[in-house]
Amino acid sequence: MTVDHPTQTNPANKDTQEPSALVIGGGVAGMQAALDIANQGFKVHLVEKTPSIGGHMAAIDKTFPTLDCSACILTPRLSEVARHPNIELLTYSEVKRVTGKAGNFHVEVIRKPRYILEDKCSGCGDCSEVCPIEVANEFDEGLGFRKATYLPFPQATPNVYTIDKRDHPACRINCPAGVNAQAFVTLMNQKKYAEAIRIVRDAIPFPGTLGRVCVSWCEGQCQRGEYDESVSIRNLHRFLSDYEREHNTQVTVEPQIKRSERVAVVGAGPAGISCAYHLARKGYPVTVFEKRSEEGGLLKYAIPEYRLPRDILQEEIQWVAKHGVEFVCDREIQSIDELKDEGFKAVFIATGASHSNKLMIAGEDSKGVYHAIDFLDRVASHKPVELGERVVVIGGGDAAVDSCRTALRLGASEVTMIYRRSQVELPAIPSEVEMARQEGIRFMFLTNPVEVLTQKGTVQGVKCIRMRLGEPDHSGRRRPIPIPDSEFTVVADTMIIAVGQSVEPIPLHNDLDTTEWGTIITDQVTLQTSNEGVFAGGDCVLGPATVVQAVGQGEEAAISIDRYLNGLDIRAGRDPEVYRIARPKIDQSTFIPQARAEMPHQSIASRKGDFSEVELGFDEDTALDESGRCLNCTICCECMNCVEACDRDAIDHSMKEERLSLNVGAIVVATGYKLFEVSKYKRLGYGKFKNVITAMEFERLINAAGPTQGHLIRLSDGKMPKNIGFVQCVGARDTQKNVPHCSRVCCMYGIKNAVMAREHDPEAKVSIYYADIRAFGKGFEEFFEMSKTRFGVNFVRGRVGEVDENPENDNLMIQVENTETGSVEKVEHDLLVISPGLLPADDVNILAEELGIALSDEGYIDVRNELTSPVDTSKMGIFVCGCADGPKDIPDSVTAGSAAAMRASIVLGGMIAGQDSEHTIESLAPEAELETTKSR
Amino acid sequence: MTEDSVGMNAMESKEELRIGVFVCHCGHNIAGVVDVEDVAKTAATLPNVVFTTHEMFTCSDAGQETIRTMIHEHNLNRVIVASCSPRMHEPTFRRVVEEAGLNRYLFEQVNLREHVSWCHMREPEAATAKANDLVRMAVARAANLEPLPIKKVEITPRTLVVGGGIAGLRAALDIADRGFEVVLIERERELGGNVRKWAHMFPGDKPGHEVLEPMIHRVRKHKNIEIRTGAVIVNFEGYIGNFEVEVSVEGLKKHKKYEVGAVIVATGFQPYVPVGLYNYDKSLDIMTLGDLQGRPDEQQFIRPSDGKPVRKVAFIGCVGSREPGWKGHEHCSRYCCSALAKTAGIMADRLDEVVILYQDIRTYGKEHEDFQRVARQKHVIYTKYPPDAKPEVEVNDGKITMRWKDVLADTDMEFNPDIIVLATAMVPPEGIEEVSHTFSLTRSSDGFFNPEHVKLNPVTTHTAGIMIAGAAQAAKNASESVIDASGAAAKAVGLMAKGAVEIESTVSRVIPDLCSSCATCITACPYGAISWDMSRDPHIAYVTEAKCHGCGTCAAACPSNAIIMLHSTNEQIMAMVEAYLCVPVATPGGGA
Repeated sequence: MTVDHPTQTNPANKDTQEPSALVIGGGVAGMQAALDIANQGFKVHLVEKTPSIGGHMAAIDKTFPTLDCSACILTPRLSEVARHPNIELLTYSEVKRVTGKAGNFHVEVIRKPRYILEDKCSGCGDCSEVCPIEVANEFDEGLGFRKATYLPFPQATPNVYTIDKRDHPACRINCPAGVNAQAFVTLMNQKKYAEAIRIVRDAIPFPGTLGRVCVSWCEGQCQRGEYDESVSIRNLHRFLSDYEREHNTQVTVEPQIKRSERVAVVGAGPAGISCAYHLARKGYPVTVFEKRSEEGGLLKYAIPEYRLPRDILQEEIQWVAKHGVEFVCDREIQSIDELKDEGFKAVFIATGASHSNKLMIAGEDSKGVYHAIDFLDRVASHKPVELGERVVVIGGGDAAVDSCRTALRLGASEVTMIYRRSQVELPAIPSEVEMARQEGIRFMFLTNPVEVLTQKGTVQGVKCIRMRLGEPDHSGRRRPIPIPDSEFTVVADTMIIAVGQSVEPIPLHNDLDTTEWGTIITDQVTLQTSNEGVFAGGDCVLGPATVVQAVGQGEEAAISIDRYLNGLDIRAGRDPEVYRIARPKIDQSTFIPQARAEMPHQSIASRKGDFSEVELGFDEDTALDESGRCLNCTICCECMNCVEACDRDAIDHSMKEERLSLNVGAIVVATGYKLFEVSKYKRLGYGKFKNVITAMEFERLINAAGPTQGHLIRLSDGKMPKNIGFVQCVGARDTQKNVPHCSRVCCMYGIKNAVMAREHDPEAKVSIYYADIRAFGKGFEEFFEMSKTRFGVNFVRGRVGEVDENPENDNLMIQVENTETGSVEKVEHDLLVISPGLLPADDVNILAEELGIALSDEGYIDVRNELTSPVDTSKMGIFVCGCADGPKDIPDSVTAGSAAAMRASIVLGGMIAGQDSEHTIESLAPEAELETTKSR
Repeated sequence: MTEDSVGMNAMESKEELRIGVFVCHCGHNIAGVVDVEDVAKTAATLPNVVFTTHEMFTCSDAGQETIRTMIHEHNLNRVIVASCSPRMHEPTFRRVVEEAGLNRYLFEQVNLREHVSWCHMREPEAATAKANDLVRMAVARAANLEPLPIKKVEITPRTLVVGGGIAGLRAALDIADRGFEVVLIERERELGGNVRKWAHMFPGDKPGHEVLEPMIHRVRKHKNIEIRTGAVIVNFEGYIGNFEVEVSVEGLKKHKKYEVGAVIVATGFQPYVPVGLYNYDKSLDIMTLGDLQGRPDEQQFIRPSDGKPVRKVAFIGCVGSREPGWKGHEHCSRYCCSALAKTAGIMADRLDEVVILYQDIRTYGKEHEDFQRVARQKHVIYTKYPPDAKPEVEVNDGKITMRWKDVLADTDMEFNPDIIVLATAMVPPEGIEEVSHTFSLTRSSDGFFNPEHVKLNPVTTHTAGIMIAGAAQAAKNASESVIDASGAAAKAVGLMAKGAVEIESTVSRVIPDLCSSCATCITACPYGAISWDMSRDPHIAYVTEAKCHGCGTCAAACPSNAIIMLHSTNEQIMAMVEAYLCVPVATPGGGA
């Protein structure tokens, strides 16, 4: 005997495209269909929306009626599919668009990003081990946990991990410096403080500084705030910094300068330092020029010490210096050329906006009148300040509050803050305002100064006018409007004006295009100025803004400069378009509201006297507790531990959704089913009582690879159940719940579960409450009989009514109407297992519409003629199998898979034989006269 | 047949033995009982073992990759996986070693799960000791393993479909439409089987013959289908891809002979004839559902005994079905509940009283529940009878009286129907015994054929190349039979389209010099795989390898020790026995 490998290729039709099929759904039916088509030599695209093929069967413990281990019999088939040369496995993918007709369908498939490269991942699990995120494991029905980086089950096919990541967290995208709050909060919650602070430092060099002075936009958008209160993110990174100082765990830093191009940064404020830091980390030698005698900018010269102790700031600047950044103080750069002449290849200008604005009212130049920045600067620099008893501060920003509290600390007996809008519009950090109020600062809202009253050039008071609020102005805040004839006088001997800052005109800016307000004009994304190779950021560009914005711009400029020096496109890919994740769904029934942690403060009495720090910081317990409040909105927090751990460079967090175009001759739909939500039967107590579980949860509990490693326990107390009740026909054969039909499998899996319960514990009592026992398949009746005779399962024909919990032992008290005796019995079980019916899979209606195929009234896919062509849909060339057209057990699904494959292959065979699709349809159709349930 | 020589070069050179042992945790399944680490460590001390490890799931892709990598890294030439039953994963691991360039017969599997951890769950120490024993034995056997050739047979591109009922018709059409030839044989003179005789099919409401008409029409005119009705198989020989069938056809003097590559057995069922039950044979007015459906519509409302109109009907379900202890009648017949509901619902319009006696109502199918709802709406009375006290039926002077106990009302009932309709079981058709011999098929307790695997391989059988479809496999309705038929057709087409398949090399081989021509093996072989080699004088036994299942019956029966079982040679088995009895001193915890 010899073999000459006969093939089906028709040489006459070489130019027609290779016939292939699409199978939608990788459960046992879809797998079978794919195999039986592929075994005929045709190419198959198998599309599965979850990360692995295997479907529900992979999660089932044993199968009826032979009690085969489900995973054991399924695994060879999984690997057969995965290794079949004719099958292209498209997992984590969904069919989006379908056009065309039998023999020539055009299909668009979306491949969701799994952030792990399938061809590089070996399934070793190193990434999962280091992943800090744990979420409920859907494969275990939420009974166990899995990581954000996960393999759904050990035999998952393909053996490739998937990162569960959803859009972007609000905290992170609202941070101008891009601090990955979700990641560091998650890591610190696991006491991985070093990893956590590394995450913060990846974005900013100031965990301690910004941990004290940041306006924390992140917290404003924190989704936890939608449920109770936002997570105290700022104070958490301050804790990381405190912890590191206290325990002396700061990692040593060595300069990693490997580039020759020198970069100059002008201005050693937050923007400049941040830029220098990021450039140094990229290997550039950076020199920061500062015209004042010390680094720090407004952090040093304007923010009072009681908010930001100088040693904290100094250490963080030192830490930047350790990266190889050179700080040159007391030098003011006059021109760009000056720097270019010194050999700098790129420049970042961050000269700030430290010029206090004037009120432009009479008497503003009198003695006793200060402008906020000058005032704060003098105090911070320990220069003498003349201060009276009664101080008024004009303004509502942070500088105003800082001025008030500083004045108080310098001995003023009465400090009043005057603000022209109301408290609602107050721009200062609310906690600062609150502390100021506690310290005795008085607030005068809706008031505006109109004249400084002086005597002999010295302040005596301020003439003010009352204001009211009109329509919102361009800033969105309501415009203050003076109320005529409402002038009054506030007595004061010192006046501090804190009505904003602006950019000081300095010679260096002459080399650049500036706005009418003197701010430097840059590209919004790249921060490139009008002068090539010169970038600018921070307050000198933004006008007076926040520290964190300045730090963020420093980092952006560093990216630009790096690209500029590498000759790369500085703009490419820096698309600011990111999608913020919608509010994460949380289970409201188990959610326990918890207020955010309160920051401990120095007592009011002691803090008023000096400049020692007011906020004392979280202790470790508080920090752990508080970080535990994070909801992990996006699941994966991008801590990048996985990237670090992966030896094969298989992880790519930047992966994007992909669209594939396929041309196929035939389509098999095998989208399966979903289980009825048993909580819809309120009386059964599911979701309310811990020991009422679903059959699928039971399957996972008895499964050796399940969350309890196969130990059947009660969820309330971990004890082995001794008296188990199984409730059948829940969500099936019930017209009132709109599920009029039988789900075909529940009787048998119910009996199987009952038998398994007895196998696990031969002492346990097991009862099944049923309406009819439908043991109709091959070997089913025999199995049913065996469950009674050999396993002693107690069958009760009856409806389970109200279920109640015995508060003493968490047992369940059920009322059963025994329909054979007519009596209503009260029975106690220590575990109640509900067997839900089957429903059409989610979104099958959307798919059906896209495919142009009919659905039955129940929402399953309709078949053309149940008697003569029971796997053909209403549209030629599209076939259906498994539970997509109605509930089926495994053998029936498998057979239908083969049958659908057969029918699909007739279309594909017709293509080979050179027949047009009409001809094929001719052969498929005549006896398959359209007789869907709708037309019947 | 062709031979492939993957890894066969190892056969030539007597190279140094290098055995690798891979112990599997199977999650908690094995490792929960057996100390797998100890098993791996102990194995490392055995002769010729150069590598051992233990893995969470050896069958997973990661586990497979480990095997392949270690074969290369350690130059392994024998691989042992100590995991589960070879039934499932032997093919997996054989393929794995083959991918690493090793002959698949140099792989050996030890069953630590079904044979150890599952059955010794409560004695972990003894289980570990037993696991060590088994691994030691496997190592000894592996040292004696020999590579065997990989053989292929070609597939004749023609399929024999046995049975012209709705399943056979569907299978024949699908294969023919796909472009392959079909020989369809039916022992009756007409095609259509049981469906043809049925007046109201479900779903839909057509008579069976109308449903079949277009199918039969297309089968008749299809150029790829040769139909033989009134045909009986008189001889069937061969093996997968190469069967020869001889058919006697009514009206033809000469037997027709066909060469086919695959066979689909769609021999269906016959309705059980309830002789001796419910006075079926005493009165014309007591009939089966099949009898009723066989009557023209109008006739269904006329009493057969006296021609009077029928006003009251009783249906009895589960007649000859669901009878524990009654061989061949223990199964549920699946179609009857829905068929009863549908029939009763249709007839109720024209009757005064309709009663259905049932045990459980199994209207499980798509919309079958509606048949029952419609029937109840039309005042059909459902009454549940106990399985251990069947209804009693008396016939006196043509008057029928039936008595039973209604379980739900706990009341004794009496009724005088004009006719009684018995929903009788689906049982295997007459002659199924011969069919099972012809194709070497086994049957399950319901009398129908056994599939290869009841869950995952429901239409293939243990005889390679032979498929089953429809009620040949188990009681089922027409729609389900049609799905089976297309499924079985897919398997046949799969074989034919591929053109060739691999067959096992673990077969028996006759040593010509030792054969004494006693024919003991020929009669002992359950697969008909041994015949005479006529080219020899005297004739000696000859094994058709493609038919041999490697069961070893012949080798055990041979009085002359003239038959070798490849892959289970005396040397290989004795090595295991010795390894079991003679524990190397270095091995702790082993031994009897």
